Amino acid sequence: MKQKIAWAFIGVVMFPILVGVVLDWLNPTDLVQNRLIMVFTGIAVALFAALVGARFLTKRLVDLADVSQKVAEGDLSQTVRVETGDEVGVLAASLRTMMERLRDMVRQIQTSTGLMYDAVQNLTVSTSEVTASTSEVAVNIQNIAKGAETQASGVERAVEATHKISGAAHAIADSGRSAEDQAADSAHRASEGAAAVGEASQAMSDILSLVEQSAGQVQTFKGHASEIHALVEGITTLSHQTHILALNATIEAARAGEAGRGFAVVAEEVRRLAENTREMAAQIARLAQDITGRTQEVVLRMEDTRSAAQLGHRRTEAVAEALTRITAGTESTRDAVRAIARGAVSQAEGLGQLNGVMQEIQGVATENAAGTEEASAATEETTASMESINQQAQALLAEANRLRSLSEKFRL
Amino acid sequence: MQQLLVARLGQRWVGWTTAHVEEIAAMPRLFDLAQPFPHLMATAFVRGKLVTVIDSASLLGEGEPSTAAGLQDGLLLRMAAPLANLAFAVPGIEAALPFRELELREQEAGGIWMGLYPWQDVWVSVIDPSAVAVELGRGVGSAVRNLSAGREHAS
Repeated sequence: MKQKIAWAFIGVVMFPILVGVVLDWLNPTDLVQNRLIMVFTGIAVALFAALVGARFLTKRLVDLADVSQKVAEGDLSQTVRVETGDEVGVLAASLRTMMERLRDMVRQIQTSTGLMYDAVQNLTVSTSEVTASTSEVAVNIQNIAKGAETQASGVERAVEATHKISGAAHAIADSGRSAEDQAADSAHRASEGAAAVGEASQAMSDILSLVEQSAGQVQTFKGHASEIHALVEGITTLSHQTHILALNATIEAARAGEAGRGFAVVAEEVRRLAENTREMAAQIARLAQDITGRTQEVVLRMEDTRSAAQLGHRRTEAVAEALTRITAGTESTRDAVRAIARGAVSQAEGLGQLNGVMQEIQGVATENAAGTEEASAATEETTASMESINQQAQALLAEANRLRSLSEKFRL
Repeated sequence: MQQLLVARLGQRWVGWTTAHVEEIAAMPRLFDLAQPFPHLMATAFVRGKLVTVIDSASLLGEGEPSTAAGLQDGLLLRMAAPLANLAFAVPGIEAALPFRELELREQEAGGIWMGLYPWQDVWVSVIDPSAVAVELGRGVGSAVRNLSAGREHAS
């Protein structure tokens, strides 16, 4: 610049001088006019030089101002040419350096913002997942806590039940001893009963034999009744025929006139006798029929009695067998009851030990219930913290998004 | 002396005089008529003689016509000549009374009846077998005429 100004000054000074020299050579007579022309020429050249220099300097500064204006608007893609080494060139070099550094910074910021946005987004997702998992864990721990409470309550009831069972086992042991004595007594009585039933069975056999004999006699009686019935039918037939004969005798006597009067009386008497005989035969027939019917009933009853006696005999034998089995069964029962009594004693002892173990389990269950309650509370707190972290991550994500939007406004 | 043989037919007491009766027999085997005329129930053999059996209850209007099986336990009153081939079927003979004609109330007679005869506290309707035979003859003749007229009409 300085060199250019020096050359411009030299041109402005030397050109009028050169013009004065030329004029003096051409017009040596009028020196004043030549000097005036030389002054005016010098002034014109100076003005021209000043105008040209000013325009040259102003244009470069305007270019730099435009670049600065675009940088201010975020456009870092402009290029700055450094053509001279003067002050304006230095200013342009500084501006280019500044733009390059700004470009690097904006690139780093955009890269970092993108990474931060991705990281915050991942963090948001992770915190959401962790929050959900923590909520599930909280629910599960609450369920576990409830289960632990239920378990503790159940163990408590189990302890009570064990107490009761232990008492019942003692009672069973006592009852077993009593039942053993009763079983022995029952076995003795069953033996006596078996002997008595044996005697009853023999008596039933005798009854059955007598009933069968009676049934045979009744059958014979039934046969006699049937014979009576047949005889009565014969008598009835005879009386009927006698009746007819007497009627015919009456007719014959009437036909004989006065000679037959006495015969008619006899015939009438015979007819009456025949009628009486028929009536009596009818009564006998009714009696015989009644006897036959009753005999039939007796036969049926005898059959029923014989069946009942046979059934009684069979049942008595069955009872005897059953009593024999009962005797054996009561002895087995006595042994079994004895074993049950011993087992009940062992059971009572075992239940005592079980009771101690159950009490220990009850303590552990109670501690577990308390622990799970605490864990549940801690999990709820963790869930609340994770929700807070999630909210903060959401806010950070919004900030990162905004920052990225801002950095993306720069054009590189 | 005549006797009156009394039988009970439904609500009525009916009598036959021994003068009209040849004999009384147990009911023989009866042979049903294929196309019975009124009151002529069946035929039967009595002592080798063929007789026509009259259903007495049906004749007197004391019940529906009987069958041979329905009278199997009854008696047969075979009439004396000239009606020896006629017999009355009755369930039984309830009594044989001395018959005095002066005690017969003939003013009650008419048709097949000879009159009413007192017995204890009831009246016995005494039957006239000859009148019965006449009535049966008329009935049989009428039936035969109707049967012949029916056959001619059919031809």
